[in-house]
Amino acid sequence: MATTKLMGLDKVSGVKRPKSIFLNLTFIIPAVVLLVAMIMAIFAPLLAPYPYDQIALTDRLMPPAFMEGGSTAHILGTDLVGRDILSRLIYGAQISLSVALMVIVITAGVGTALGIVAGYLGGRTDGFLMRVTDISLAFPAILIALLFAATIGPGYWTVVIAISMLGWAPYARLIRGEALKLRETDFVAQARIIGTSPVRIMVRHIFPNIINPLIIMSTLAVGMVILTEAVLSYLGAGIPPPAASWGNMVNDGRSLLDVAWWISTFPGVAIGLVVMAGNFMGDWLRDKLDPRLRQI
Amino acid sequence: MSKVLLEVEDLHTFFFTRRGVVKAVDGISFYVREGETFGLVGESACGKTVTALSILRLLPEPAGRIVAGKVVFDGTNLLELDKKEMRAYRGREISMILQDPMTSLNPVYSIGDQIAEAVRMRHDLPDNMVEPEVISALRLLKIPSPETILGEYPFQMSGGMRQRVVGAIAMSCRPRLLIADEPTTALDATIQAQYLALFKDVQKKTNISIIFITHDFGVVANMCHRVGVMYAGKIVETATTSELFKAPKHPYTVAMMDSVPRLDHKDKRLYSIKGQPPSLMNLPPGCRFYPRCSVATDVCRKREPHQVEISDGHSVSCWRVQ
Amino acid sequence: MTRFIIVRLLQSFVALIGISVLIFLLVRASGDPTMLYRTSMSTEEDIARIRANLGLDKPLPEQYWIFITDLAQGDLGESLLGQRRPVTEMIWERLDNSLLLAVPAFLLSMIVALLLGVLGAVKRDTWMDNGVKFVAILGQALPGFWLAIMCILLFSVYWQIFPPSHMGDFSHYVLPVSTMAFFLLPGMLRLVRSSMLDVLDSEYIKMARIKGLPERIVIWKHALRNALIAPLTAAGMILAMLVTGTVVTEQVFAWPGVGMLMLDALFSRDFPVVQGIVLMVAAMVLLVNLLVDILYAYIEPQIRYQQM
Ligand SMILES: Nc1ncnc2c1ncn2[C@@H]1O[C@H](COP(=O)(O)OP(=O)(O)O)[C@@H](O)[C@H]1O
Ligand code: SF4
Ligand SMILES: [Mg+2]
Repeated sequence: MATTKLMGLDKVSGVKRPKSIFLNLTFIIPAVVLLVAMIMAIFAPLLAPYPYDQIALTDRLMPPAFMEGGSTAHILGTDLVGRDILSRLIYGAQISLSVALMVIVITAGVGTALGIVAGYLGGRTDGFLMRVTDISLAFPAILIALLFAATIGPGYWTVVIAISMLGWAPYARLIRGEALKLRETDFVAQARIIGTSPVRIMVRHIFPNIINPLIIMSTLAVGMVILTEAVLSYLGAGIPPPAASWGNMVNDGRSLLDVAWWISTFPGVAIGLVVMAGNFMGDWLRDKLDPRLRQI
Repeated sequence: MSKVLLEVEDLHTFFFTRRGVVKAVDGISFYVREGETFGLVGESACGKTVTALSILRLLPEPAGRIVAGKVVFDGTNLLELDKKEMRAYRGREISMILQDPMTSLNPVYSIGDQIAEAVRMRHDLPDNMVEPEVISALRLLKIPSPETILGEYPFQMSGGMRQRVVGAIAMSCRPRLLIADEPTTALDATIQAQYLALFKDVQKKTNISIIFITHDFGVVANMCHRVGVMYAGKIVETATTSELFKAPKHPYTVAMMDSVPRLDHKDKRLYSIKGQPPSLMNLPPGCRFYPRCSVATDVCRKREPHQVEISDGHSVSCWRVQ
Repeated sequence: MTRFIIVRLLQSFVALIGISVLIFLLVRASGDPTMLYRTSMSTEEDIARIRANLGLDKPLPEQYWIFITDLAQGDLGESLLGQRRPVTEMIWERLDNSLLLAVPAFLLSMIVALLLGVLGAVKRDTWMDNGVKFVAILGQALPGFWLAIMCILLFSVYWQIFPPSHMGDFSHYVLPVSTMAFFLLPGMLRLVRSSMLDVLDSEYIKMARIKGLPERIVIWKHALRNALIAPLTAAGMILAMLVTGTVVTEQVFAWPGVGMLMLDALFSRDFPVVQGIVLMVAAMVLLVNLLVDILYAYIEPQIRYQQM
């Protein structure tokens, strides 16, 4: 029989796509970046060559070590008042990551509770909570944050609370969807038949089944929170100086671009790296734990 | 006898997925004559839809690829055409009714729009001719009060009505070959009978060739002139419908016939074949039907049977029928 | 449809009330509320007057009533500084500057997102698609304000092609508009690409191809309109990003818009201005969301018919 060979048929049968190295790198590189950031955050006082606020007017505006006029004493250079950029970067990790941790604990807690209640109870409760969620999702967090800064003043907790004010909404929406599906499962029906109380069903039967989405969402939230904190601090509504936040460090260099590009540049690179690592990690976890959640 | 319109030769269509190669269509051949209805019948997931989409070259890319074979339509091998040339065959020469009427209409355009588009593709009709053509397409499918339905959206219609509209779209291009992919699965029994009668009616009026895809041998008996029985990516038996029902040869065909509820044998119990069809990613080395076959012999497990023509137009692939 | 609009209007109104309660509570949580309404020049008398105006000696619900009735009269108060001008006037004066920045940036990013998103989906898994994904990943991770500053560093400090700040002729728009567009891009790009992928896999797209329609009609007519529904439901989030983007971009480029006005007020401790802008922008955000809901109902016939 005359056959048009469009492809070597014989070659086809054994074909299996080789596991690409790229797939593994999407896990290893982000993991390393996050690990380094965490180590910097936890051991900042041990790792940083100088205190974050040590002023040295004789060493002002020193360029990074690899440039002419730089010195290995300040590998990434110094700022306007001679503070060591590298040390401030290391302390900045502390702020970024701890804000992220706080916000995620708060928002995941609140959002999960509301999401489960809305999804499991349904009806009016659900309708009301989801409308509030929708509005919160569409509300610019920056307005709330600036409002907090204007009334109770900028500061660590102001930032944490301001970001959390709206940050619970994406959790609530995701978890509600999951709870809605779980409500229809046999094991929940079973529990209801034997007269288990709603609270107990939500805690013992629904919650354990939404842990995967919760982990994925929380990982993806790391980047979001770090970016928001950085924006607020950059604008002067976040972590106030002299504390070293990556956001306010970028601001320090804004007016010195023509003489000291390094002040603004390095902290931005740090933000970009950590946020990207968080996002990649979240994507990777999602593909491993729950590929269905491709949407979030 | 009328001439052959479509000839599929040794078609292989595979899906290259992350988990491996799915041999959805693994070397099938058949032909369809002008004005004839050819039935393609088999359990679900045996490759019927993939065969149809291969003919139109509308496989989901990049996973699905035609790996080898020929699809000759009216003397032209469609697999050798470039994209633009291929497009000229769609609609005007070959059209298809997709399996799922609920999702094959675009939700954001009205029914009238969607049919008019197909009508316009046929040839450059003057604008004032389009609407009458659309309405006559709806009439052909016996859709009540076609004028009022033009402005409606798919979500406003019942499943049965959507099924007809999809049919009207496919027919309004006036194709020479229509592929109908399980067009009655979504319908309930009475509407099903009406809809099937419609196909015969249309065929009488237009002399169109039809490839009728179904998993229901009862429908095959009613609709088709000739039949190909598919199992796990292959056609295991081809014959005229009367021959197939009189003297089925392949053990799979025989088993499937037994599972058709027959009105004339009320006492006959509904019998379906034990076990599952093999995974198309991991085919057994011998006959694909071997694990479920009640008359298998030793050779069946080791070597694949080849096709033999046992009488004029009746071919079977089975070691027992060599 | 009217019912639908009324219900949505009411919801927006309730949301505004929510913001006012938040402001009200924050002001009282700040310690001494009069601090927020006085300047270093205020006398004891002034402070007593502020105290009376806010009704601080009355119970909380009554205080809130005083606060909300003032607002309901459309009175956002007046600035504490300079000529003590009405806040509304100050906002109006700056609003067009903000729009001159935000609207072109939004349109630019929308057009680019549509083109790249459709390109990525249609050429799925090719190098072009990977390029599109790379842009989205980069845009999502790099902080917008930093990127804007890097652009200034390159284009204004080193190459001196574009001016680094302030409003002016066309060249002043290039950097702010394009950096803000890039800030908005990744979110929209992801939405367009992923919903386009879903749509391209659908049966009705297959049906359109079966008709023999040219690929350009299949994609730009049949697929795109469906694919746009998903980004439209996310329009609220995009708008929120637009507000953030405006504030940040105005700060970076010293652009005299509403965002800059708010930041200046924040630093000069001119609280009524901050409060007024927050309320005003909140109202605008809610209004635009409402309009988008209506537009959505228009694009998706199913909703249009159900709600009527
Ligand atoms: N997009 C796809 N990717 C991978 N496998 C597919 C795809 N589409 C179909 N298949 C596989 O091809 C085989 C045949 O499917 P199909 O032709 O739809 O069966 P049916 O006979 O029910 O129409 C099935 O096993 C199915 O799993
Ligand atoms: S070849 Fe053997 S196993 Fe296959 S159908 Fe025939 S008898 Fe059964
Ligand atoms: Mg099928």
